[in-house]
Amino acid sequence: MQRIFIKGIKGGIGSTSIVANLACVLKKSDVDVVAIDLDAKSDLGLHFGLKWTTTKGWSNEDTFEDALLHFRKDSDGVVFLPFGDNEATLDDITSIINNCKNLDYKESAWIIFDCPSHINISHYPLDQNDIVIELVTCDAICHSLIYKRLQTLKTVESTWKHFFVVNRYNAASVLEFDLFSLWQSTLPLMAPFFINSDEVIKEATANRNVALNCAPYSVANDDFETLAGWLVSKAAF
Amino acid sequence: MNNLATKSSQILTSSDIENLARRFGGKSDDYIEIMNTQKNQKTINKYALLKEIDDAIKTSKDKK
Repeated sequence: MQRIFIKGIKGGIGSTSIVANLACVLKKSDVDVVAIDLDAKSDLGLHFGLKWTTTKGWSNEDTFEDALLHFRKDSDGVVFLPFGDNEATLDDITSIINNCKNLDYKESAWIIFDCPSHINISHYPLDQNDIVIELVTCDAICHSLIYKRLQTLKTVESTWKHFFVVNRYNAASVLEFDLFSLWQSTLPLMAPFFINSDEVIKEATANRNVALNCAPYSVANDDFETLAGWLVSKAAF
Repeated sequence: MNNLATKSSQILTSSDIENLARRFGGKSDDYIEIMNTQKNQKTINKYALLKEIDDAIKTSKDKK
C-alpha cells in the first residue's frame, strides 16, 4: 500500500478537503483507496456523506479490532475511518497508523491520512516509501513556516518523501504569483503545480460531496487529477 | 543581461527528471535547470518579511 500523509503547515489550509477530493479521484482509477481521519475535528466523514449525528470513530475504541467496526464506504467506493469524539494521544495515533499496515489490501491500494497541523510529522512512524504532503498557501507566513520546516527537516533523519503543495492559489493576486514563482525556482521539495482556489470545493462540501461528483469539469477537479497523477509518479509501486 | 545560475540536483524539479529517467531511460545527471536569480532577488527585496528571512538565512550560512 502506498501511504500518503497530508497536513497543513498551519491550521485551516484545507487538508481535509484535499484528502476527500484526492481519495475520490484516485478511486476513479479502480484501485482501493482508504482515508483515515487523524484529526480530532473529525470532519473527514462529512465530505464522504457521513451523517452529522454520527460522532463515533476509532478514538472511541480501545483496540484496533473494535475500531475496524467504524470503517465505512462512501458512494464512490472510498473506504474511510472517522476519528470520533474522544481524545487521542500521539501514541494512539501512532498505533492507528501502524495497525493500518495490517489492513488486507493489494499493493496497488492507497491509504491517505488526514493529519492535524499541530502535530509535527516527524513524530509519526514513517518509512522511506511514505509520501508526506504539507499544504501551504501563497502568503508570507507560509513562506516563513516553509523555511523553518526546511531547517528542521535538515536536523531530523527524514527518510520519507516530503513535499510542499500550494493550496487555494489565487491567480489574480500579485503577491501569490510572486511567491509561487520564487518558491518554484528556489525551494526544494515544492510541487510543480498548485491547487486553485475554487468555489466548487466549498460548494461540493456543502452538498455533502466532492468536486469530482458535483463539477467534474471544474478547475478544482482538474487540479485534483493533476495532484493524483503527480502522486502516481512519486509512488513506490 | 540576465544573471543566470544552476540549481543543485537535490531539488524537486531535478527529482522529477530523475523519475522520468528511471521510467523511460536516459541520464538525469545531464539535466541542468536554469533560473533567474536576479528576478528572485527582486521579489525578495520587494517584501520586507521575505527580505528579513533571506538575510537571516544568508547570515546563518556565512557563520558556518
